Amino acid sequence: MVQVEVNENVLELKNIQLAYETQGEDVLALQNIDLNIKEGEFVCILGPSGCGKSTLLKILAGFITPTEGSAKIDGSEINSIDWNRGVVFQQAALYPWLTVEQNVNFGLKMRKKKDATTVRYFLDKVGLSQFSHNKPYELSGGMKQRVAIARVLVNNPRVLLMDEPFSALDALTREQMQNLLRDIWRETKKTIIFITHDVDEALLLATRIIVMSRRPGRIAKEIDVAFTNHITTEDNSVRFTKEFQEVRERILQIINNQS
Amino acid sequence: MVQQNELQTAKEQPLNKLPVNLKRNKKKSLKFWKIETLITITTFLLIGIIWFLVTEFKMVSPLIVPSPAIVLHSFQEVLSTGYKGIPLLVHVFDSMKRLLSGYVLAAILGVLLGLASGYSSKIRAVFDPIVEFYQSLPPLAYYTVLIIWFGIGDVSKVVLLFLAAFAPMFISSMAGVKNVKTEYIQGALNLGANQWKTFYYVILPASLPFIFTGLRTSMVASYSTLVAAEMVAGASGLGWMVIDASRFLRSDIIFMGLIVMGIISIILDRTLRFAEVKIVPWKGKD
Repeated sequence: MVQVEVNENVLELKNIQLAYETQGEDVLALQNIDLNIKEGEFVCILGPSGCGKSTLLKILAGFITPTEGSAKIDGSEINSIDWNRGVVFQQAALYPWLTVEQNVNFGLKMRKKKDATTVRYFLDKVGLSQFSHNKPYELSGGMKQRVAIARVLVNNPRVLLMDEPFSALDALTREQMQNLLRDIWRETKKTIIFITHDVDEALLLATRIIVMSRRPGRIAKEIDVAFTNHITTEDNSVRFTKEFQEVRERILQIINNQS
Repeated sequence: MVQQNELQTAKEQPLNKLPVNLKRNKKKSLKFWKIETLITITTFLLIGIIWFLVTEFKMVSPLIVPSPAIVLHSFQEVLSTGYKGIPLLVHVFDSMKRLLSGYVLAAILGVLLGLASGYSSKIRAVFDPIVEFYQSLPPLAYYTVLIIWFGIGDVSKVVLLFLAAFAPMFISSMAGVKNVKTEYIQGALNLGANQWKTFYYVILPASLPFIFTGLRTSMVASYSTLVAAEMVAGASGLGWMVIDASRFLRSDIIFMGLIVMGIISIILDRTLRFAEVKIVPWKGKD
């Protein structure tokens, strides 16, 4: 009998452990990570620097393999780098020898696909149509990250993995980028895993916040939130509500109590 | 509504600013008559004047420092009738022929093997130790062996120049590959490229700034080796002309030869720098 497994989880992490060696000593970066992520969730992984949250993302991307445990996408083991899990890095890492448009088209070109309409659609979506022929080094930091997001989206990946993508931006640009990303998430209904060390950013974007502990990185707390659903470009007053402040306090306490 | 308008203007501001910045960058490169350029020209004029005065008032013998007029005259003479029957342009042509044959060969092989060695540690294990060993030797030391193997003609010189240019080419191309940002490679694989496409579309262009550094370093190395080699053995070329003139105490020819050599080396380097700006416009801006 063939057993049909009903599985609504896009990503499944089971007992992930990651150790690495420096100067002859074993360092445990991640320990006992169990995490299931459903389709369409916006998961923010929050934690102090050095807690291994970026390492966790690298495992999901397939850049590194965990020492123990299993990471699965749609039920199959993650064992290589794949366009189905599009990564946006902290630094945009665009190719300076290509124009903005060529950067966005890169994924399609590598996959031998031609789709100028999609490229134009996403350039327009991130508001960079008029800069399609500029080179990345002619753009500001925020604009570079827009290109990086568009470049991943043209591939129509299953999940979006974002590693502190807005942390190098100024406060005003960061807020614009958060709004842009929320709009894209609403429209495309993509599953997003977003790494940040900014509590407000997590609260403003996530449907679920995973708070991580200091090294060895473990999941300290999972919190379901819904503030993001009440935010529009015109109205972000939800952040001034009592509830928002309370959750914020709670998260800060969890982080601070560890040290 | 007011809030929305504010956000929109805030969003558009950096977008509008950009073309202005671009224009400014272009202007900067067009600005030739900087104060520094003027200072440089004045310096050269001063050296010329001192040279003129020193020789005009016979402070030193013309054998030690010939006057500018004599040097200019011998330049005209060598240009038209030649030095020992060979016109200046033929000397220049002979030197350039040797230089460019060795250099172009070294550039092609050095870049290819350097890139391969940067990419694969097994290929590196073959070539890197060899290059590391011979690049520390003075080229004239192994030129002796090359003369025994390939004779005193052009072949030994081309091989010598090839070897002198190959090492810096190889080393910088290899460094270029090793210095490619991890994110560039991970990003390419993550966007759907395979290993080969990642190499061709990402690692190769990302190594270009290093490759150009190699092209310029090895040009300097092979040019100085060329002149030295022509001095050791040869019957034509700029190096030969200068060493031969010294045997007959023709200081005017020596001075003229040195100035021509210097100008040629500046032209060669400027050409490479021009190509670099055209091909790697992002260098240093990333």
